[in-house]
Amino acid sequence: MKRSLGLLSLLTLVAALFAVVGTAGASREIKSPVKGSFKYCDNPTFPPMESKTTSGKLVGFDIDMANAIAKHWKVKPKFVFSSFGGLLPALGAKRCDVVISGIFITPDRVKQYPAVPYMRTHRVLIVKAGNPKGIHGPSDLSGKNVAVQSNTKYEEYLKALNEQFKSSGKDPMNLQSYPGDEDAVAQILLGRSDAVLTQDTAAGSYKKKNPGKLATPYLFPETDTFGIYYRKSDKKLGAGLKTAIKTLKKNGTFKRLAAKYQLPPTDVK
Amino acid sequence: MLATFDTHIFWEALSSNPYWKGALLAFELTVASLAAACAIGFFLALGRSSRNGAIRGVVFFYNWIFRATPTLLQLIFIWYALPQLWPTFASNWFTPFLAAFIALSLNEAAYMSEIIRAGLLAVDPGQELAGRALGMSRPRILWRIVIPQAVRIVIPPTGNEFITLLKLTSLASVISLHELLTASQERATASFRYPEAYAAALVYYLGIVSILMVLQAQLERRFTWSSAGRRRRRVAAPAVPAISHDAR
Repeated sequence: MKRSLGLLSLLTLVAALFAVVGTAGASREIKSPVKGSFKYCDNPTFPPMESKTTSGKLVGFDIDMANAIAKHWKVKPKFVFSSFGGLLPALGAKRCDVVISGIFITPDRVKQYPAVPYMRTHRVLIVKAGNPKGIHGPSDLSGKNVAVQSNTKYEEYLKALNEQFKSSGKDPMNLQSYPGDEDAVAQILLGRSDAVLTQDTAAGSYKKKNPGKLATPYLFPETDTFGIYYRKSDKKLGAGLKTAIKTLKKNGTFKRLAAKYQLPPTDVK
Repeated sequence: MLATFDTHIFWEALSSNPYWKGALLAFELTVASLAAACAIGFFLALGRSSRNGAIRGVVFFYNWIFRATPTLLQLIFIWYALPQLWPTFASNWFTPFLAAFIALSLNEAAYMSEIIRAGLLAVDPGQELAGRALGMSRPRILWRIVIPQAVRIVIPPTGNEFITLLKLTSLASVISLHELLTASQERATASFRYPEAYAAALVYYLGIVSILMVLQAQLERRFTWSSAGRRRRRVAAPAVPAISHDAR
C-alpha cells in the first residue's frame, strides 16, 4: 500500500514536471540579452537589499531579484563583489553586465549609465534606542557625531547640510564616512556616533538584527528610486531588463520577495 | 593615445583643496608615526640585547604580535574592538587620526626596532671598549659613540620604512580618516573621471616620496664621515682644496 502510494506520487510528480516543461516551452519567446551568465556587481553591506550572513552566504532582495532575472533568461547569475564607490567603475570596466546594489537613480549617475527602476523607498535617520540626543530631523544633527557610508548620496547630502550649518552659524556635524553602511551603523552601537543617514529598508533590517538598540526618529518625505544600472552601449540589455522587471512584477515574484524581506508591497508596485 | 584623459580635470583635481589637505594629513600621519616608531623602536632594540631575559621576552613578544598580524587588522581592532572593551574609546577625543597614529606607530615600532638593532650591532664592539677606556659612562658611550655611527646605517632602511608607512596611511580610509586616497575616491565618484582623479593622487604620493628622497640624501651626507665618503665628495667637488679636510 505504502509502495503504491509512493509510485502514484512519483507518477503525479512526473506528470506535473511534464506540464511545467510544456507550458515553459509554449511561452518560450524570451531571449536572454546576456550570454552565458548574468554578471551583477554588488556591495553586500546593505540589508535587506543585500548582505552576507555570518556564514558568508549572500542574501537579500537584490540577490533574489538578480537570481530571478537570470532564471527568467535561463542563464546563470554571477555575483561580482565591489565596494560601493567602485560599483559604477566596475560596470564601466566591464567586470559585470549590470549594477544591482540598492543604488539610487540620480540625474548625475544616469548621465553616465542608464538605469531601470524597480523600487521606491525613503531615507531615514537611525539613532540609539530612546533617542538620547533628541534628534527629530536633519536640523537636529548640528553639532552631533554622524556616521555614513562613503561615496553615497547620503554622504553628499550630509556634506551639503554641513555647509548649510556652517553658513548659518550653527555647529557643524562631526561627519565620519565608512566603506560599508553596516560599518556606519556599528558606530551607533559602539556609542561613537549619534546618528546615521540611510534607507528605511536598511534601517528595518538593522533594528531587527539589534532588537531594542536602535530607533528611527525621522523619515524623509522625499522618495528615492533603486535602479539597475547598465552600460549605454548595451541597449538590448536595457530593454531586456525593463521587460524582465515588468514580468517579475506581474507574476508576483516581487510581491513575494517584498513579503520575504518585510518591505511594504507598495514599494515594488 | 590618451584620448580620454582630460588634462583640465586633472589639474583641477591636483590643485583642489581636499587633495592638498588629504596629502598633508597623510604626510603628517607618516611623520608622526615614524617619529614615535623610532623612539619606541630604539628602546625595543636596547631591550632585545638586554641581559635581562624577561625584557628580551617582552620585546620578542611585541615584535611577534605586531609583525605577524596585518596592519589593516590592527587598525580595525583599535577602531572597532577597543570601544567595546573600554567605552572611553568611543568618545570624541579618540579621533580617527589618533587611532591611525597609535596603530601605525605601534606597528612600525616593531620593524624599526629590528632596523635600529642592526644599526647598533654594526658598530664595532671595540668602539665601546675605547669609550670605557676613556672612563665614559654607558649612556654617554651610547649617545656619543654608538648612536652617531649607528644612525648612518639606519638611515637608508628608515627611508624605506617612511615610504611604506606613507602608503599604509591610505588604509586609514576604512576608519573614516579623510586622507589622500579618500579625497581621490570622492572626486572620482562625484565626477566619474577616474583616470584624472586617481592620477592626481599618484602625483601627490610621488611628490611626497620625492621630497623624502632629497631629505634622505642630505641626511646621509650629514652623517657620512668615512674616508670613502670624503674621497667621493672630493671627486664630485674638486674646487674644495684637499687640505681643508685634513686640517679639521
